Amino acid sequence: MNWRRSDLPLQADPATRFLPWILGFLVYLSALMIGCGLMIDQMAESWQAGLAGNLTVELPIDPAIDAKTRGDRLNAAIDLVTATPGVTGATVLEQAELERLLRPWLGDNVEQLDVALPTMIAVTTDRKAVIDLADLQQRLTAIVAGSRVDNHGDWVSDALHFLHTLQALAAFLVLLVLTAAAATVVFVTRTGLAVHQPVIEILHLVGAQDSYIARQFQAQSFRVSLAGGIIGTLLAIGTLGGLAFALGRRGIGFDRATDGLTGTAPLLPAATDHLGSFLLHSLGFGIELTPWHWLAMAGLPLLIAFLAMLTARWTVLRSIHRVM
Amino acid sequence: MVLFEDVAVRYGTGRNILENISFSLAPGSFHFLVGASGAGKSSLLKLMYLAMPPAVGLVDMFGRNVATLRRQDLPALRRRIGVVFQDFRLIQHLSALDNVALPLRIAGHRESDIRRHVTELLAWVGLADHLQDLPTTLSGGQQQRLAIARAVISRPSLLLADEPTGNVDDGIGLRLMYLFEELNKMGTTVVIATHNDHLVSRFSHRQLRIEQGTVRAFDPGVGPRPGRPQNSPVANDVG
Repeated sequence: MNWRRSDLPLQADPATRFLPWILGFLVYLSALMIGCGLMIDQMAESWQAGLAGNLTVELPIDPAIDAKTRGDRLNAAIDLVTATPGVTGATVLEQAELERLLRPWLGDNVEQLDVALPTMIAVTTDRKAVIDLADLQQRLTAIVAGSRVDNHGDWVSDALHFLHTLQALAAFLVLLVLTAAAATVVFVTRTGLAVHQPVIEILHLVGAQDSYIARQFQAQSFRVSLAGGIIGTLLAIGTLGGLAFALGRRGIGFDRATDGLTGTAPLLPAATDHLGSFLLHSLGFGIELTPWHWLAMAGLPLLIAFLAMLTARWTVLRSIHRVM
Repeated sequence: MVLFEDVAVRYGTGRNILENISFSLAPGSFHFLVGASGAGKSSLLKLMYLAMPPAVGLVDMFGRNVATLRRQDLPALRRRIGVVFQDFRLIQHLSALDNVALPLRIAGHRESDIRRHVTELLAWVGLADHLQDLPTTLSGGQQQRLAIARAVISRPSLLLADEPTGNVDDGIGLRLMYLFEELNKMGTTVVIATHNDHLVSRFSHRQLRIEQGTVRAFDPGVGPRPGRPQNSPVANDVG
C-alpha cells in the first residue's frame, strides 16, 4: 500500500487539520518538561559532585579562653585533621569570607553583630577515601569542646529528595500529556470513522479488510503528528534558548571558579563549544546536555508520531465493527 | 455458485420482507431479478453481496455458508463479487481511474499493472477521455459505466447489478445490457435486478421473480434475440 495515497479524504477533515496543532502544543509542553527534568538531573549530579570530597569543621569560640590558647587549639585541630588519612587539605576561612557567607542570613551588618562566629575549617578529601567521621568528631571534641564535623550529607540528601520529587512530577506530567495526546487521536479517529462511514462501507463492499482502512488512518495520524511534533519540539528548544538569553541579559550566571551562582558572572561562556552546551549551560547552573539528551529531545516528534499511529490503528480496529 | 435455502430477509426486529426463498445460481449463468418497486430486490442482492446476513435459512456463496463466516473472512469473498449499485456509490473525491482501480489496490496488485488494466477497461467502456475526471463531472450514463467498470475490473465470479439502467435512457440501457452479456460470455455469473419489463422481455434469460414476499424462478421462453449494433457496445458515448 502506498502510504502517501488515501482512499479516504482524511486530510480535509476539520478535526484532522486541528490535530497537528494540538499535538504540537502537547509535544511543546512535553519537551519543556523533559528539558527541565534533564536539567534537574544535571543539577543533582552537579551538587553531589561539588560537595563530594568536602568537609566543614566548625570550632566554637569560647570567650573565656585567651587568644593564645585558642590559637594553639586551632593549630592542634588543623594538625589532627590534616593527619587524618584521606584528607588532602585544610583551610581556615578568613573572618571576611565567613561574614560574606553569613550575610544572606544575618544581613549586611553582620560584622557589627555581637555574635561570636565559630572558626570554620574547609577540608578537602580524596573522593574515593572513606573517612571515619565519628572518630574524627570524637578526637576534635577532645581538643576543642563542641566542635563539629559536617559532610553536608543531610542537606544534600534533603535537596536531592526535593529534586527527585520534581523529576518525578515532571515525568508524571509528561505521562499525562502523552495520555492527552492519545485521547485526542482517539477522538479524531472516531470522528473520521463516523464522517467517512459511507466511503468506508464502499471500501468494505469491494473487499477491503479492516486493516486496510486502519492503515489509512495510521498513515494520516503519523504524518500530522510528526509535523506537529517537530514544530512543538523546535518551539520548546527556542523557548529554552530564549529563556537562557533573557537570563543572560539580567546577568544571572554561573561562576565556574567558585561553583556558585553569581549575579555578576557572564552568562555566555567565553568559548562556546557546541550549541547544546551553550543553550543549557547559559541557564546558569553549570548544566550541559549530552548528545544523548539532545537525541532524546529530537526523538520526541517520532515518539508522538508512533504513539498517534498506533493509537489510530487500535481505535479503528476496535471501533470499525460498530460502523460496519 | 450461489445457493439459497429457505432464506428469510428481515431488518431489525420487524416482520420478514422476504421468506421461503430457495434458488441456486449455476456458474456462468445469467439471471434477471424482477419485481415491483419495493418488492425486496435490493434486499435480496444485499444478501448476495454479503452486506447483511439472512434472518433464517442457508446462504451458500462459493461453497461457504455465510452464517459461519468470521468478519475477517468476508473481504476475500467480496472480492469475488462485483456490485453495480443503483446509486452508483462512486467515491466522489477519487478520479474515474482511482475509482475503478480501487478493487485492485485493495487486493494488493502492482501499481503499474493496475494503471494498465484500468486504462484498458475504461477505454472499453468508452471513458478513455475521462481518466482523471471526478464522478461529479460525469453524466449519469458515464457514472453508470464507471460503476460497472469498477465492478468488473477484478474479473469477479459473480456480478450483481441493482437497476443498472434505472438512471439512464433506453439507448444507454440497451448498450449496458450488451456489455453484461459480453461479461457473461467470459464466464461471469450475472444477476440483474430490474423492474423494467421491457428490458427483461428483450433478453431471454432466466428470471427470479419476487412475488408476494417470495422468489420464484422462471426460465426464458423460446424466441429470437434482438439485433445488436455492429460496433462495440458502448463505444459511442451519448451519455
